[in-house]
Amino acid sequence: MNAGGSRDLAGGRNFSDVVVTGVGVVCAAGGNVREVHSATLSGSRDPKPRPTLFDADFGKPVFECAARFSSGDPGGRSLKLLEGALEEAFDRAGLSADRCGSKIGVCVGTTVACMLNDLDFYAAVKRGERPGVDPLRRYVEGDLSSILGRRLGARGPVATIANACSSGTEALAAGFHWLRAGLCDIVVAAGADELNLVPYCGFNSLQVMGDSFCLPFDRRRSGLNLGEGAGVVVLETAEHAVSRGARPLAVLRGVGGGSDAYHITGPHPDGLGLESAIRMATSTAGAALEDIEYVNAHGTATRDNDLVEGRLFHRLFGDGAVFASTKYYTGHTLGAAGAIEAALCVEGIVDGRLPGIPGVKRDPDIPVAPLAESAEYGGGLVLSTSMAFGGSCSALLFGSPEDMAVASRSPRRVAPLVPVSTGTGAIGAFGLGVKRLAEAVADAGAGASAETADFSIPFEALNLPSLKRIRRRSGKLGVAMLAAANEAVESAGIAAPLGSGTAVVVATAFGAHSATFAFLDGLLEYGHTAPSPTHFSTSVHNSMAFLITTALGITGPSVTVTGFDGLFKRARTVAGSLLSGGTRPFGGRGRDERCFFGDGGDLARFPRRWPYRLGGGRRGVYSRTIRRWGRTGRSRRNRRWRFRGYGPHHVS
Amino acid sequence: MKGCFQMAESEDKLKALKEELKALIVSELSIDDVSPDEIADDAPLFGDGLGLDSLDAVELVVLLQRRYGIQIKNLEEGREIFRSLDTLAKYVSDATGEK
Repeated sequence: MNAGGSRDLAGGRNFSDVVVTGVGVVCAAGGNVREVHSATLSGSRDPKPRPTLFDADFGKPVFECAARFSSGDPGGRSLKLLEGALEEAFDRAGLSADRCGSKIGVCVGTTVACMLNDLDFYAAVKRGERPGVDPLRRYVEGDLSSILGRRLGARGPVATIANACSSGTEALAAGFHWLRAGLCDIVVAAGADELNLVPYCGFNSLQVMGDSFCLPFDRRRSGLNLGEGAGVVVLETAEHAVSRGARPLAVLRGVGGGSDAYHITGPHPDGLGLESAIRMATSTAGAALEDIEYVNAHGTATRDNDLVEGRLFHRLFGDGAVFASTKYYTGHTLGAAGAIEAALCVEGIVDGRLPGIPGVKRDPDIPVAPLAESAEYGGGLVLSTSMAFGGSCSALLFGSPEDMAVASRSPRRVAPLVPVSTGTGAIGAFGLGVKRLAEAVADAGAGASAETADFSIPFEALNLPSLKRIRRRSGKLGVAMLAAANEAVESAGIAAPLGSGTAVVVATAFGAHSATFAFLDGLLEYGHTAPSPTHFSTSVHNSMAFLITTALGITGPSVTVTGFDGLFKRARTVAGSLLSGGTRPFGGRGRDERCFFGDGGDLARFPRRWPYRLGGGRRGVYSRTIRRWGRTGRSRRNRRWRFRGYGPHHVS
Repeated sequence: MKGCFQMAESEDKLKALKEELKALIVSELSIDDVSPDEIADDAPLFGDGLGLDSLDAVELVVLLQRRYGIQIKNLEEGREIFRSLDTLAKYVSDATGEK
C-alpha cells in the first residue's frame, strides 16, 4: 500500500483526501454501528417471518426495525431512522447539529420516502372522495435532504438522490465530488428507507423475494428479503478534519459510477456497469485492482445479482477474490443499503475485522467462493458495490486512515475546471425543441396552454431504431426526456454511442408517477399478489436515466436527483462537481468528458379527477450537455455559454 | 364417431385459447411491432423467437394469475411452460380444466 506522505495526490492535482470522521447505522441488526458490526462478526441475525408494520395478503421474511420509529410527520419513518443514525454519526465525529461553524453539505439517498405511495389515500381519491391532504403534504414536505439541511443550517449543497438501490452509495459519491470541488468542508452523506407495502408487493411480483431467510452467494438461495434502516457517513476534507482535531476513521479513496445501458431490472450479464464503476473508483483513488483486499458486495441473494457479481469479482480479482454481503444481516434496505454498508466497511477498518457469510454453501455457478468466516483487515482497500434498477451501478473505495494525505494548499485555492454547455434540448407544452421554447417565451405564453397541452411525441421522430423493445415500457415522461436529451446531444455535435466518458444527471420532482399510479391501480384491482412487475420496475425515479443511457449508449455514471426546493440547481451542482471534483473521474486521458443533465416534471399525468393542485412545477423537460472545458479544441469551438461556477450560492 | 367429435371440440377450444393468449401477450406486454397472427404456435416466446425477456416472464406469471387464477410459484417451472405458445396453451388448458 501507499505510504501517507509520499502518495501522488489523486493523479497529480492538489486535492486533499476525503476522510470519514463519523458513522451511524440503524437497521434490524442493531441500533448503532458497533452493535450491527458485532452482529455481523458473531453471525447472528433477526429477521421476521412476515412484516408486522403493515398488513399484506402474503407473508415473506423481512428485516424490520422497532415500531417506535413510525411517524406521521413529513419524512415519516425514514426520517426517524435517519435521525437515529445521524445522532450517532455526529456524536462519533465530535460535531453538534446546533453549533457547527463549518460549511456543511447534505446528500441523502432514498427510494420509498420520495414516492407518493399512500395506497389508502390513492384509493380514496380514485373512489371520487376528497380525503384529507395530509398524505400529500407529508410527501411534498418530506424531502429528507431538505429537512436535514434546514436542521443543520447547511450552507453547502443539499440534494436527495433517487437512484433506486444504489441511492445510498451515490449519496456518498456526490459528497466526495462536492468536497473535491471545494463546495463545502463537511458532507453528511446518508441513505434511509422504510419498509413499505408498495415495494414489498413490487419485489414479490418480480419473483425475487425469498420464502426463507436470505442466503447471498449461496446455492440454497431463494431470493432477497427486504429490510429497512438508515446509514450516515460524515465525510470531510482531510485538512478540515485535522484542523478541528477530529480523528479520521477511514479515507474514502475513490468513488465510481457506471451504467449497464441494458435492461430496466436485469443486470448486464458481464457486469458492464459495475465493472466501469469499480475501475473508475480505482483510478480516482490512484490505486490498482490488486490493492483491493475485500469487497462488500451488493449481494442481494437473487440469482442474477449473485452470478453477475461473483463472476465479475473472479474476473477482476482472480481466485483470491475476497467478498461477502452484509445483506445476510440487514436484508436489502434499498436506498439505505449503500450508506449502511459504507458505514460497516468503515467500522470494519476501525475494528480491524471484516465480516463473512456464516455457513455459506458455495454456488458451483460462481467460480470463486465468498468469504465464510470473518477476516482480519490487512490495511488495504475495501470496496463496496451497489447495483440498481435501470442499470445504475456504483462503487466506493475505502482505505486505512494511516494512508491519509493532506494537500499542501486548500483545494478551494486551486482554480476549478469550468464546465461549459455545448448543447441544449427542450420539450414542453411549447413542443419539442429549444427554438420552440424561445418562440414561446418571446410570445409571452401565447399559444398552447400548459394545462391542456400534450407533449407526448412520436417515438419514430427520434430516429433511434434500436429502441424498439425498450420503448414499450417507457412512459410519456421518459420518452419526452429522451427527446430533449437527443436534441441536446445532436446540438452538441456528438453522436451515440457516447460510452463511459459520459455521465447522465437527471432531476425529477415527482418521478415517473404514471407508472407508480398504474402499479397502485394494479394493487387495488388485483390484490397484493398480482400487481404488474413492469409498472413497479418502471416507477423508480431513475427509469428516465435508464432510457437515456440505453438509447444513447452511455455507460458512465448515472445520477437521479429528486426533491422540491431548487431542484434544477441541485442537479446542476451534482453534475458540475462530477465534472470538476475528481481528476479524470471517468473516461481516459485526452477523451472528452461530458455530463448530461436535465429535469422533468410529470404533473400533467395526475389523474383528471385529482382534486388537488400540487405546487407549480415545471411541466417541460429541460436539458443540457456540459463538456469539460479546455481539454480539446472542439469544446472551445462548441462553446455557447459558460457557467461562472456551481453550487447553491454562486450559480449563474 | 362421438369420441372424434369431442376431440374436434377440444381442439377448437385449444385454438381459441391460443388466440386469446396471443392477444393477451401482444396487448399486455405492449409488443407493438408484432400482431397476434404473426406469433407461430411453436416458435420460442423468449430469446430468438418473439424476443420476450425476464421481466416479460414475471409479467406473464401475473397475467395468468389474474386471468385464469393459475399460480406459478417457481420460475424454473415457468421456463418450461413459457417455451412456446403450444406449451403455454397446453398448461393453461390443463390447469383450468382441473378446476
